Amino acid sequence: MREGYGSPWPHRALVVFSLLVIFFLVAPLAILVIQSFTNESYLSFPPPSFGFRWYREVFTSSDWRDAVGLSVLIAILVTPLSLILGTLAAFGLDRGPMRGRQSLYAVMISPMVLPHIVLGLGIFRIALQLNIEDTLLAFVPAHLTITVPFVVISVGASLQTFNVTLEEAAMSLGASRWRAVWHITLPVIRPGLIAGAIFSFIISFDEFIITFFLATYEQTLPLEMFSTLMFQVKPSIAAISTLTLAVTAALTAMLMFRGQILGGGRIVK
Amino acid sequence: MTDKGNFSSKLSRRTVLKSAAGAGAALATPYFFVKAHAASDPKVVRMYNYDGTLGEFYDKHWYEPFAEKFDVKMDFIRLKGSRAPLEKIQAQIANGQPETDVFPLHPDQLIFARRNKIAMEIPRSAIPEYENIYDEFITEFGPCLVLWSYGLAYNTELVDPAPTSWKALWDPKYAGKVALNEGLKDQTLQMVNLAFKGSPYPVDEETFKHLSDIRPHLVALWSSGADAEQLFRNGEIVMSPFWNGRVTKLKSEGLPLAFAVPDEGFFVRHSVYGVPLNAANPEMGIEWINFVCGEERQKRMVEFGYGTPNKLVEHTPEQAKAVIVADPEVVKKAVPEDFTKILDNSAAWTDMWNKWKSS
Amino acid sequence: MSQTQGGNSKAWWLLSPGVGLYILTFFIPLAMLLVLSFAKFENSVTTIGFFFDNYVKIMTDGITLTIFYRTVQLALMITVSCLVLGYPVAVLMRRSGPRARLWLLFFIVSPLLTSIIVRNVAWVLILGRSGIINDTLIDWGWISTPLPLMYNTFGVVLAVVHVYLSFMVLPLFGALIAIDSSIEEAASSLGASPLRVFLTVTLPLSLPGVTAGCTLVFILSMGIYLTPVIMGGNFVLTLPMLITDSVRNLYNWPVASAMALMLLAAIGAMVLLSARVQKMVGG
Repeated sequence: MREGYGSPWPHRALVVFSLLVIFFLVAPLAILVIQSFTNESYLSFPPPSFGFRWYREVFTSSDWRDAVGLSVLIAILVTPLSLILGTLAAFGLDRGPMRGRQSLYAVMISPMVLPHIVLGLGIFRIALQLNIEDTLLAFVPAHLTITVPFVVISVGASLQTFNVTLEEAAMSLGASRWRAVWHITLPVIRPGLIAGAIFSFIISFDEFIITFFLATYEQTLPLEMFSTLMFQVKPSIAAISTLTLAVTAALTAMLMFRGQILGGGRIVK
Repeated sequence: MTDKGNFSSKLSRRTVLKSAAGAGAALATPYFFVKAHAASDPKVVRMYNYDGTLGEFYDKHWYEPFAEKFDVKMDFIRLKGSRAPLEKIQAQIANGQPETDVFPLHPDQLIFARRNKIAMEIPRSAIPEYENIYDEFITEFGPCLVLWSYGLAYNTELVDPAPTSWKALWDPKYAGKVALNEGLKDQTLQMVNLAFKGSPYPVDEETFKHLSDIRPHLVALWSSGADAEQLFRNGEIVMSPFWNGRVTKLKSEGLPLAFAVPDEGFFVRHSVYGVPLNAANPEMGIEWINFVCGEERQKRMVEFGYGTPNKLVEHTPEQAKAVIVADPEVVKKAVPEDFTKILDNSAAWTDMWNKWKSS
Repeated sequence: MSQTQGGNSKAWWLLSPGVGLYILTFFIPLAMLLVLSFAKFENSVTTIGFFFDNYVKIMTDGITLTIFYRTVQLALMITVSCLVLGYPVAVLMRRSGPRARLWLLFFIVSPLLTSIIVRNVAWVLILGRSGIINDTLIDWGWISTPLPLMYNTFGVVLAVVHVYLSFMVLPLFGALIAIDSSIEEAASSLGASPLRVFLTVTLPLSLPGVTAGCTLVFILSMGIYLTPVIMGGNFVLTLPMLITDSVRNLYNWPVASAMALMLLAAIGAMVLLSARVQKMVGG
């Protein structure tokens, strides 16, 4: 197959260029990880000595702990709700009439193209009006608004590979609709659900600008990182970044190598 | 599908159910959804606090002793920067309750608060300690405390001779080693005017012409005191307009820094401590304000490096030097600022400033 | 209860929880911003009403429009950089075997899922005043004071490209993989050089992906706040920064709302434009 693309020289250039791009993507993160293990009180590269000093600092600091705790709490609340809302919507779009489907789909994914700064400003305003800013009642719906579209897309894609007649067959054998959906459809769209869940969790965990407007008393991890960064660049910021990176990289790897993104996850019917 | 597949999908469904139930339980727990600092408990007083050593000072000398004396709990909201978030507080007052019982207002914010009626009027009789506060530091909303000065900070080893004029910033000798503040940029603009026009107003084309002259010399436009501190520590700058409190602090840490009051004059500002309208616990808020106006608390503030309006506080020569405003000779150089003008022109000045930045 | 192509309009009820959420967090807030954008902010006091003051101010103050253009310019620079860096990678991904492709994809997709602030931190540690490069150069005695490596447009573009590159590569890859390679083979067997095949067959057929990727990256870049604040020092201004400043420091909700709607209008125009282009290149 490869021979079809002509002489090896341009191909080699392509490979080298791509490797450079990947180096550009990966190198800063690698440096970040290495620096997080410094034993010094300042950042330098390569670090003169290695150790877990800054990890200890991060784990023992109540500021960081509280920030991580709040971010995890929000993400844990957002993920299942996002899956429920997004999956219902994806089903609705899939099963509803063709007419109007396109525009409804556009509505459901519209928060994706809305700049978060605008969304943040608007949500801040309504949260102030309802006197709920700085609480989970504001954080969770705000985060849901930006995570639901991802579930609609990922579950929607899974649903397209699903043959509705399977569900009908189950129903004709006496299963209720809910039972049919639960036992036949859900397992098939599981890849979409998993992808949607991971996207929701990570997007919520990483959300900055909307929470930046909403929060003063409460600090999520990105907010805490931002204020630390503005105050002083210390190795603790590298340590906490590396921890975040480890979690998200693990989730990404899970997603990728289980084939959820490469259009894999095909179910043998 | 194989049996195994069936099993695992069942398992995951169970997991899904479990996590959904967990989320439901969390949802049902009202604790998570009320403001952590919302309290109608008369035993809780809610305050703003700052980052860094100033925050530690408040904690130790202004909050803890009060909590002990009155047997109350102090609850804090950490400010991002030095200004109370009035855009939020105003809406909170309109729709319910402000997040704290006391708020610090910069002088321009005081005018905003007056116009928008978001601060409670506190009669003089409510604060017995006013007796010892100079009259000009008492407003209808509360006392003016924490007097700080805006002058010229410089590295005593690298800047020679010691600067006596703001114009030293423009000295080509220090090109690439100076910075200006963008946080509170109105001060920067007035400072430029002081240096070249002898009076802080008007802010106009000429002001920005002088800014453009200095622009190639600038290492940075810093936005918070912590930023500037970092620049001095790294040795990236040797001179910058700065706030005296931070200079005192850096000096005490052994940095070769000094604070100069230029001949053209300098600025003294303060915070008005007031009680926002609809506060949950205004009685304790006023009680706290009275408490910190007292001699003992004000002494501590002077030791920390900020000036006081309390007549009873006596300064050691060292303290008088650090707080700047205790020396009548120096106070003569203080240039009065027109905070109404500052507030009303903040948008126009911001536009001009941004125009200058992106030119 | 037939589930035919026509579908069941009852199924649309399933959308109601999601739509309900959007009404609260999206439609009503936008409506509030719209109302506020016509309010008047005078002497620090906001009066709701129907005034055009804010829009007039934006158009005539001589700076908001400039910063808007700068923001567009920045977004264009980011988009073009992403395209230039991303296209070859997408081409390579298409040509690679499944294993290599998976690895490439892993490196390209992982940014999507990695905290933006973490990526910015990484750049600060490298390019910052006391970052690796400056520290090393000072250690070697080449320079005595740190170089301003990142506090400018370059730093911002670099860091944003780092974050958004994947948003470009994925649609490109999607479009490239959809191209039937037999068309290229046919062209090449008819004697066309590889370059000619690429220019006349592959590139035109991948244009829908180019349009989609560019639109996505452009739209995302128009809304950036965090990266310019961290990477831009104080001299890179974007419209989102002006919006935040208006609310937080000037307490001027009306003008901030008007700017937000202006940003929204620009993005709406971009979406429409992209749909047109998509029709042209895809049709």
